[in-house]
Amino acid sequence: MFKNYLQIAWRNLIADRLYSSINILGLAVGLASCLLLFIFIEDETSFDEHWPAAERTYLVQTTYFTTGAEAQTFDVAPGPLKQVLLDYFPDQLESATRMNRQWPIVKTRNDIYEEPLYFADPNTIDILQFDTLAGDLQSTINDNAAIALSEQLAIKYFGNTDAIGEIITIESWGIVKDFRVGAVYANVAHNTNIEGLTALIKIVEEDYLETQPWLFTNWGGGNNMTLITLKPGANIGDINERMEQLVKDKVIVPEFVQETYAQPEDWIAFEAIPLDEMYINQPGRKTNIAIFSGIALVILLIASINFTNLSVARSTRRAKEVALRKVMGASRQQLILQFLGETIFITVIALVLALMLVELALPFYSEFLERDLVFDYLGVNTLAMIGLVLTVGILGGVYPALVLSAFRPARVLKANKSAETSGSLMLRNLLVIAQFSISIALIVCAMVMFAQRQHAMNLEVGYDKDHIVILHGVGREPVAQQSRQKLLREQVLDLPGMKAATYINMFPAMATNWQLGLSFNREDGSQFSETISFRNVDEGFLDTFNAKVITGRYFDLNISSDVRPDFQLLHQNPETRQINTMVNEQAVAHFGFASNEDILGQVLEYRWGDMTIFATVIGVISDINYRTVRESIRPEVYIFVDYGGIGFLAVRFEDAPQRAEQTLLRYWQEQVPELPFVRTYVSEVIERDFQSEQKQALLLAIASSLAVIVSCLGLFGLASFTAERRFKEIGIRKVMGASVLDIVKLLTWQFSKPVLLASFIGCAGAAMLMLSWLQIFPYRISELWVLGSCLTASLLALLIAWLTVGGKATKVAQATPIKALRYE
Amino acid sequence: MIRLNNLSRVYQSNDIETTALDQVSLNIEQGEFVAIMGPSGCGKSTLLNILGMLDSPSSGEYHFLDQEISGFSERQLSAIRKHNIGFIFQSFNLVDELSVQENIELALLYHDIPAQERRQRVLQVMDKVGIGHRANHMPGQLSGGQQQRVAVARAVVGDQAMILADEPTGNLDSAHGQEVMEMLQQLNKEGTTIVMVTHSPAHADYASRTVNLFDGKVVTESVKAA
Ligand SMILES: Nc1ncnc2c1ncn2[C@@H]1O[C@H](COP(=O)(O)OP(=O)(O)OP(=O)(O)O)[C@@H](O)[C@H]1O
Ligand SMILES: [Mg+2]
Repeated sequence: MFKNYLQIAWRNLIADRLYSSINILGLAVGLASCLLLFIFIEDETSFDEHWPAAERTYLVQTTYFTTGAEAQTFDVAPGPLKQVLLDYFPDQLESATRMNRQWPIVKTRNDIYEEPLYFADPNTIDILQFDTLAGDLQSTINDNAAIALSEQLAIKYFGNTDAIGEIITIESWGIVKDFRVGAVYANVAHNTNIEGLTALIKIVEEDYLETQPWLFTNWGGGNNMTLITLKPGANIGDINERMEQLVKDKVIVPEFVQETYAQPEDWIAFEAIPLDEMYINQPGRKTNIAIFSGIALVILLIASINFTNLSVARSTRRAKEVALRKVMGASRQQLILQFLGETIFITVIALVLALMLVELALPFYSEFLERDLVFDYLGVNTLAMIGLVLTVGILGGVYPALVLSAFRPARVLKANKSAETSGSLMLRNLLVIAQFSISIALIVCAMVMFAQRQHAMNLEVGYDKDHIVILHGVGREPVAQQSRQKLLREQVLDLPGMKAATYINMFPAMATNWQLGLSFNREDGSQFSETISFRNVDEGFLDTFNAKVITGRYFDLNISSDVRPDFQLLHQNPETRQINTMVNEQAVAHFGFASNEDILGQVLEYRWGDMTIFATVIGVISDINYRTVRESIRPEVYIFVDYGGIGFLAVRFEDAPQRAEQTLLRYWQEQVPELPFVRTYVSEVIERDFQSEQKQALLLAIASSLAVIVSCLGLFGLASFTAERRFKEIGIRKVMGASVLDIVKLLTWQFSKPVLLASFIGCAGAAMLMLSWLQIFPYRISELWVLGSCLTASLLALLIAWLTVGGKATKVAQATPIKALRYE
Repeated sequence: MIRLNNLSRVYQSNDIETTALDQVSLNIEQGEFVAIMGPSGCGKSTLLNILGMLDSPSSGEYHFLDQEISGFSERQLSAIRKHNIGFIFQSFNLVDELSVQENIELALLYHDIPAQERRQRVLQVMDKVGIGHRANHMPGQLSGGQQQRVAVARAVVGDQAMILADEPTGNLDSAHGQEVMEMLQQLNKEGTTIVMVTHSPAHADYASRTVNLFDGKVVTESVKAA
């Protein structure tokens, strides 16, 4: 019995090659896209789940409260916290570790680098997991003078992983030490929140006790990623509940904030959060996963619709087989099972093909997403595949099975003509409309999103983003000193082709920002109080970023109250807390001043740590989009500093970038040979900022193209089927004098109608969605773009449909009519 | 009007070659009424299809209005056909999805005739063959004889120079058969060239010349004494 079914299924497959290949191909493409998106989603949700005790591992976050401003939470904690936690929760905690990321200068026997790496407690290698390739990781992480390198870094420094015994000199926080390479470990998988695990060095607290006690020893600092693992059965809720008490009992408020915060709990709080949920909880991630799951489902749906559609169409041709089986005594259930079995059989073949496609695509896909993705055939994926086959097989097969099994044998056998009901014709049209609506909507969305990204990326930021380069390392010894920074800037300005230079603490075009609490009394006696962005500027700021003084005057180094005194002085001498400041145009409006002139002379109170600084406004600077263009220009205040210790130097040049870079490189190697030359272009920062979204828009574009291709594959199948069914009619029309063109027009129009209707539906839906999506952008493309995208997508769909159907129709129309008339 | 020279048609299917027409040479003049007779399977329909350019010969020459057309493309053939030839098929070949009226109109649809005039002519022809009362029926709802008349109506409505009829009376009773023959004769008198396949000697008598086929060869030609 079963063998007979299989035989029939196979013969049908072979006999109807066109139908079968379209069905299988369309389904395979659909399944493959689905699997690829599934792999991406799986990867997104797999972050930090592979550590030995992942489900018991937590990261401790620190929140700092500021009076008059928002509290701020960080993923790092002060140095003493680890030991305090271990002592405070002896029954609950299994282990705890600190990982301190630093950007030291690294000297190997070959070269010199600025390299991010981790100083970490030895427990790190128990909580996280590393595969040792050479040497002994355990002894290395317990050795004060040893370093463990990842494979990647070993190759970068020494050309191969055989680096054991090599000596590396590392300079960090002013401490220079030699380390022996004691172990090399395999690169850590990309799916972790702990970025850049490229090298590990044991934390030696004593080294920093004298010069940098805030790093590990006292509560004043706080840049240690602190991980804890619970004992089995321990409850994280209990621990978090007792954190406040821990703060009260153990935390010592550092001197520099004691003035403001008498009690530690008014100043700081801790909370442990699951490490493996951190990534997915980042803003936008879950939405993203929802979007991609949605697209995967849509593609699958379209492929299943094809499947149903073609099966329904073809079922009319199998009417005779069904009728005969019924005459021979087959029950309806048996027939339904037979046909469902067939669709599942086809789905399995499609799945095998899809897996081949996935394997072929995976290397490109991985490279595109910059992740090392693999498809694991076991585990969840096995279930997923079985689920896919059953869902698609049943979804695609149930309607044809019901229709076919319901044929009345007598009618089919007697009439011996097309058993197609008007119901099935209608259903097919509806399905085609559904398919194309979705495809067209996807194209519109992809186009609008792409255009919006492009628009945002190329937005006029107010300065020449292609001709500003940022030099790193200027905040390090030996150039960090005030006089040396001043000199460096002047020397750079003297180089050929350099137009302007300014020291900056934050890259332009990034979302990160420095803020302070700002307040002042309005004329009507009410108080303005808010957290506001501020920027430290120097003499070169206006020129470099193409900003202008609109009202009042710019800062002047010769006027002592213009220059912000250094932190030490401010602290010791409250008299120095009177300075001058500037604001941008946005701030003038935001603070409620009617005109730029009105704000001149206004005293603003800046909350700075525990101090209040009184800043008098001396001028207004034109708005520039220094921060990311994702957000509209924000109100900002400016403080003038007289160099020293600032992290980066932004240089505006007029030459071609390569020329300018060569000039700067030559200068750097002569003047600052002890530091590596590291630079970033502002255009690169912007590009990187948009990279992931750019890629997602591209992925969406690819997915929607696939949806369209699969839809057209289905349309082609239907067109072929219809052409075949109307073969005789076409023959007759030709005998009556219809030209090839007449026939092609006839068939094409039949298929244009559903596509046209789908255009309306798809465009209307997508336009509504995109118009509301665009609202979240301060700088957005015009609404006409959406209209344009709709028109383009509709035309595109129609064109593709015409090409698909037209090709088939032409072929049929060109055949000698006698073939058609003979056919019966 | 038509000149066939050593024309052959060989069907090739599954290694078996069937020679349906074997070196046929035949002339048909403008205004002639030719009957083609012969036993079943001797190649009558094949000959008619080739005359009507629905099928192409395997070898030999076919001159239509002094043009050698065996090398013509389907498009050129279609153009000639459209303006010169009307068909009545052995198996009617009506479009199942179109009504009687629409089926007949099909013959005018591709001729740039205004809809108004098309309707007029269709109505006239339907009356002439006596199926006016069935104008809106579908072919499936008609008897064999009625379908035959629709097929005839469709062939004559276009006023073609030549009509090719494959057993136009095959499904009709003698009275209706007579009517169809008289219609054809009338058309012939008005100048239409007619080539007709028939099994009935009585109907062959309407023709001015009878061609006898046997096994794909022309065996005898008899011209009716005027
Ligand atoms: N498409 C085809 N493939 C193979 N052989 C064919 C084909 N069409 C016709 N034949 C063969 O060619 C021969 C001539 O067929 P044709 O239809 O011309 O006969 P006929 O004289 O019209 O017969 P009837 O009087 O029964 O209509 C037959 O032997 C037939 O089997
Ligand atoms: Mg015949």
